[in-house]
Amino acid sequence: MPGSPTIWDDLTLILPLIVLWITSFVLLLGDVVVWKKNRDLNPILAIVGTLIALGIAVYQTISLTGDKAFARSLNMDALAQVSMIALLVTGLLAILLAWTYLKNRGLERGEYYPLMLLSVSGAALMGAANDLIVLFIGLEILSFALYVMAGFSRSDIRSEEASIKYFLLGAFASAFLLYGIALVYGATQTTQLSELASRVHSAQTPMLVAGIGLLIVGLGFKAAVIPFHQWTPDVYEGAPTSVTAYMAGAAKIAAFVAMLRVFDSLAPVSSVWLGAIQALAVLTMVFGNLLAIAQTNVKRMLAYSSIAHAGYLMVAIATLAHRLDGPRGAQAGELAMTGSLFYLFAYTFMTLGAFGVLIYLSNRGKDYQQIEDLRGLVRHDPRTAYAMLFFMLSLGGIPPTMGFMGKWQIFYAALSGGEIMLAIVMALTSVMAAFYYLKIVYVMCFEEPREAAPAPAQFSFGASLSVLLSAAATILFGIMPGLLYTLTGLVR
Amino acid sequence: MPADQSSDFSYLAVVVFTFVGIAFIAFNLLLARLLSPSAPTPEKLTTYECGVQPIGDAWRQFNPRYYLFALLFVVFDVEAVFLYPWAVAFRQVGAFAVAEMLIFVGLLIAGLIFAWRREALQWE
Amino acid sequence: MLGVPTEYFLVLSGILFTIGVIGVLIKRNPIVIFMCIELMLNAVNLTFIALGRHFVHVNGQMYVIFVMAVAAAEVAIGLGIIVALFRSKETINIDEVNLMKY
Repeated sequence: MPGSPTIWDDLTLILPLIVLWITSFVLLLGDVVVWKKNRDLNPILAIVGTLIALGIAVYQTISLTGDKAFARSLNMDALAQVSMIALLVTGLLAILLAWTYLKNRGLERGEYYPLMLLSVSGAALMGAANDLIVLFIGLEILSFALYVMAGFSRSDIRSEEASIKYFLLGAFASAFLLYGIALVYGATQTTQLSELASRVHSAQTPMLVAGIGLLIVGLGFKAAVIPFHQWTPDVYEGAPTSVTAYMAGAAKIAAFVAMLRVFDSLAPVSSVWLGAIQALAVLTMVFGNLLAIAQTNVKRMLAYSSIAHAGYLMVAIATLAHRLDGPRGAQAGELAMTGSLFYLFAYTFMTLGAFGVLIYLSNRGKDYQQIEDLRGLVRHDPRTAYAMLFFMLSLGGIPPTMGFMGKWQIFYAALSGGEIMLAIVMALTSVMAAFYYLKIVYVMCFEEPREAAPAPAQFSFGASLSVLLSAAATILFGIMPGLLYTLTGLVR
Repeated sequence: MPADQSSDFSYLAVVVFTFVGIAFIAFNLLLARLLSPSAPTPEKLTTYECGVQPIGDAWRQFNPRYYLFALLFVVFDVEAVFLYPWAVAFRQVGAFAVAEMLIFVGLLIAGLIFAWRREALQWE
Repeated sequence: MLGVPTEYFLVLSGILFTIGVIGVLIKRNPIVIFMCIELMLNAVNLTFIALGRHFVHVNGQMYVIFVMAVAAAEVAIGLGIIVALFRSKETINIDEVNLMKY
């Protein structure tokens, strides 16, 4: 690479991704050629690979070696590295969950873990993109793996249905995103986000406006923002639960980190997009929470809950628009940035935890999905019920939990950025949300079980560890958020 | 808009060519119709004068299994799209390009091995 | 080709993109829907090439190669999913694939 640091410097910066790629190819070929039918080796190797990648990512974040790489198409700054850590943690928890779930459902096929690792790498590329085309490619790597994983249970027609719906709608939305990229390129002659920031102000043409609109549609789809959310409940319900858990965490992190990057660069023309983002945020918060109340299936309820959480994160994006309005706005923008990263960490822990409880229960010989199935859980499995209780409180944003700390940061950022109306809607809808989360708590703790619970088949190491880790993180970072601030605070 | 490539290209020629083309074909078809003797027999009206008799309509759904082969083909089809610019720029980029292309082709071969070991290449 | 102004290409690609969008919305066969999505992607490719030519950037053409790679992977995955769906359901009509309702 002439004129820039050597290729080896660039490769060192993406070393965690390279570890993921090598691991996934070892797993893919190893499973069909070398150790056929060894069921436990796949998840163990996947965990080892992810841990190595996580170690390198943490080391690089602490030593602040971040820089632009590959002819400025990647920006391995703190935002990229912290989001990579979040994604690797999500991947790790999801591999543990899948270990149990695939065994219980008889779905142990070798391609699951390579697909998951590749999608983590795609999501991390999306978070590190300094070029809109790289963002697009990262999004597609993430999505392609998810389309296949959603249809992983080939004997289950609902899984197939989830897969084809997700695929057709996802491909449709990414075509919009791509057209948006092309139009922004046409208006500004560049696709590099760092260049874009200095050029957009003098390029306010209808072409730019249309391009930004299409970018919002494409990214809004991935982030499950109303009205681009129709796929979410069906895909969350139909996909195997271990996939749903992973998808909920990873896709949300990737989509919002990408949005933070894009709208941070577009802040000079915030008048163009602020109104749209505000409208989407309000719609998403209100209808996400309203629709969640009516659900009887836990996976579907969590799908609408994920939509509602996307709404809260959109408030942070709207706050970013005020980044250039004087010192107060700049501070609010910073808060929105660090706050949304904290929130994404919180979201991934509590959502993977909640799905993890469902997966943990799946070794009782049936797939736990309905709220009815959880009736009286505290009588026959108190520890699991208390774990679920914590995740529900955290998702609802009730004080000593991590979910509250995340929500508070975004709320505070919105207030100090002058987005008073959004902050009010956010507070009101949070109260509404407590209703359906507490409904599950009520069913679990205060209603008698209908029938004697089937005895657990066997102790499942993967799901137990994953739920335990998520619960520990939710409580620990809820009580001592400072531990995580040291990480998210790097992003400014 | 840069004053590029001045507009000395005239669309009139295209229009003229279009009409001349249509007129030429119409004239010849008409001429053949008028001059040739017409004596249809059942034998002459079959789709193929020799070979197997066609059964049913040509507009029918194909078995989606063919798509399995189509999708394996597509992957290697696009490989060629990448090989062309690579081959053109090869001398300037040097050893680095060789390594890159080896990785790229290696990944595709890994995919092929996977498909083969999973018996995706077999017709059930 | 030299005389054709860039706007013409942009309008053409806008029209192609719109045809693709309409096709996705009104067609019921997933393979046809999928073809319409490919049409949308190719419309964007045309935009990229036209803009690359207009700005005299090589980037515009480079992006097209990326997009083609992505589109090929998308074809492979889409057809794979459709084949899997056909195997378990013996139909690929999108209207018959609606077990889950809002």
